[in-house]
Amino acid sequence: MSPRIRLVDLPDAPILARPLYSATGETSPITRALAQVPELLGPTMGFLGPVLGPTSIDLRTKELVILRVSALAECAYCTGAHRVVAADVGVGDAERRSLIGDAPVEDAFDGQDLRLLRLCDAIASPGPVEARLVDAVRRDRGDHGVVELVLLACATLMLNRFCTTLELPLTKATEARLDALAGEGR
Amino acid sequence: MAVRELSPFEELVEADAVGDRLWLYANYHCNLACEYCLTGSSPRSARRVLGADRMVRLADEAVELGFRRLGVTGGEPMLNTFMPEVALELASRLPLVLLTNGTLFTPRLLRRVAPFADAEIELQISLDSADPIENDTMRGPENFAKVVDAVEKLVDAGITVRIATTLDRQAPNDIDRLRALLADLGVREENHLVRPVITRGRAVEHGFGIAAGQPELFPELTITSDGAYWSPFGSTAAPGKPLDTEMLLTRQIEPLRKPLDVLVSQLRAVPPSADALIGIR
Repeated sequence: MSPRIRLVDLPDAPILARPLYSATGETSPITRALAQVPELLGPTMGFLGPVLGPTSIDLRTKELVILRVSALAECAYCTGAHRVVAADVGVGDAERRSLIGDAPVEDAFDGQDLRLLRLCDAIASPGPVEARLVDAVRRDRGDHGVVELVLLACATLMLNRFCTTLELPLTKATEARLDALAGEGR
Repeated sequence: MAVRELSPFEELVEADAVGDRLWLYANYHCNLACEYCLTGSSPRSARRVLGADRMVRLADEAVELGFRRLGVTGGEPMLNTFMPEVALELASRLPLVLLTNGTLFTPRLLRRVAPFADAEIELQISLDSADPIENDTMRGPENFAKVVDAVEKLVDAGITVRIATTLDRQAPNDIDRLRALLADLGVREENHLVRPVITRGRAVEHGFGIAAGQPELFPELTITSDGAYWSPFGSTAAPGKPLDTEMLLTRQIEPLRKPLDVLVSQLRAVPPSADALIGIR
């Protein structure tokens, strides 16, 4: 898959974008795309970083949301990248396979996780979101938990459409990790 | 009387840490295709026209923000039919230097630029050698004859003319011969600017010039249709390619305060540049 826009390499990186590249020029394809509009790079990453990264909600739970929503949105980039991240934060093989739709989520999840994934499914689908799905998660995690997880799901959807529209490619490192996971039967 | 506090930009100008001139790239296409052109310009180039109204709006904001001078470059700005009148508008705000290749000064255009004589406008015209063959090899057929003819007429009309000579392979005595020619044409010695070729744009293809990146280039806010840049030597392009981006500040160019704030924040964060070492302000 080739990106539909030029991804900016370090030698061409605008002044505001350079701090987001490593000394050897590595950075994510999302950053390389956003570097085309340097004044939006900082604010966008400043938003995505806290929403997708470590907060009061554990990373495993956040990765369940991100991987499920990305799979439902059929975002090849985010699904691939977050299969790796999810494995790194302890989401098991059977869980990952169910999150990407290879098996029913009920086969791998129950309780709070399953109720959260049902809300994710509704968020990632067109139309209204049933109150009972929100209420179930609110009972589990409180108002603040609902707000944060809904924001996470919605931010993920935004990124899904961004990456899908621009056909951002996985990095070689991510592809290698996915091959390794496949080799391990994970 | 209360003394107005200087803005961060004005403080940097006072400290000679940033240019007091706002550069506007009027467009990127050109009737010539010079061998060393930084912007890879030619008749086939993407035009990237900034537009008359926008140039005037930017000049108005430049006054408010504390700029003291304006520069208009290209491409060939005179390919924009609005340019003579817009130049006068710009010069009514701040002193203006208008860069041109000097090959388009027909009798009609000379009549339209006649008011430049009474405005704060300097026309900066490129001429690289006193030897017509040498000059035309770099700048195109008949360039020397057209430029000399235009300079003579512009000076006669009372318009201030500066000559920019881009150094690369001229013989040492060529510059002396050029100075003598310019004196004959009525161009004052202090209005002859000699500078090196920068290895960007089409100069890369021909292996000309000296490398210059952000650390070597004096910061002067530069506005193009594609974004705001660190320096007029940074908003360059290889022929047929998008503009280079490593000296891009912001894609947003209005309000002008937006890219200026980014430039100022960068200047407050980085040590002084080495631009003075290669003299390409």
